[in-house]
Amino acid sequence: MTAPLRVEVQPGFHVNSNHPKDEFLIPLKLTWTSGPLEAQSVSYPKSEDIKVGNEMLSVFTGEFDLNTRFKAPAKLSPGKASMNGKLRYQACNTRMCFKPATVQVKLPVVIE
Amino acid sequence: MTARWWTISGVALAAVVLAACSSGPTPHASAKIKDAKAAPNFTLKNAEGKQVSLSDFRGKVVLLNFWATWCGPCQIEIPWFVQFEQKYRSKGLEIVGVSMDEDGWKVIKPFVREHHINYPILLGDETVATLYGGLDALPTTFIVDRQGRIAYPIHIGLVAKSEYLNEIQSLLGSNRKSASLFQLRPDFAAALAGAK
Repeated sequence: MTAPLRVEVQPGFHVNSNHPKDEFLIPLKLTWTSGPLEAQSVSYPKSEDIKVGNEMLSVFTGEFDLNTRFKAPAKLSPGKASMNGKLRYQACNTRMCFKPATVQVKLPVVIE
Repeated sequence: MTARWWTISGVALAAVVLAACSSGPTPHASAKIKDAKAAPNFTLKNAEGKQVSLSDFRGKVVLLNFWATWCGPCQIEIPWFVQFEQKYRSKGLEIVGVSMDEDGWKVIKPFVREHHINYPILLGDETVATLYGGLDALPTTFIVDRQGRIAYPIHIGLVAKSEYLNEIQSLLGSNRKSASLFQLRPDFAAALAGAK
């Protein structure tokens, strides 16, 4: 089963994609840390290339989904639970950058 | 047994908060600050572990650049600073780069090598960030005159190379004692002129 996580970046800003072109730039990364399900993979959207100065950057802008494929273990107790994770990102506009940050994300699930 | 997904919105909220940190383009004035204040002193370590203070550069014009390896616009400015260092160091300019990388020298050292940085790089911390207004956005650059005062409005974000050049050349050109005295004490300078 796959669950989307909607990310919204305010107009005029971008975040580095999951595969920045420069080794020093910090990629967007979604990591699931705890919960009843097993995260198998995270798929990121297609990045776009923008030019800042003479450098081409691989970024995400606007609204996009990060889709996680989860696997349910054989033994799961029915009821409400949540998947907990963190999203690491680093945002800029064409003139400045902001410190890398991590936000906690929570995905409520109902086991039936 | 199945899992049903509910709506999630926490990340979108975080992105909005993140973007709200920016107050938009910072106005850049080319005019010097009339009541220039002293640049806060600090002591930080360089790559060799040696402590370096801003006050060590008193008597020089200092371009104090806060940057980070993950900052794209910083990478645009750094080659300019390398050029400035080559051209104006002998005339009294000192470029001082303060890296705000949380990962420290393990990321800074390779970056310095790759970009052929030829001026002092120090590792910043929260104390120096607080002294200089929080440094929420990078690059942030201060132009400090020979008397240790912040001579021009703060540059937050990428600035035109010519703007830095104008400010540096203006301050380097005012190295003559009479000019400095006139800035500090117009009455004293006038008295000196009268004594000639």
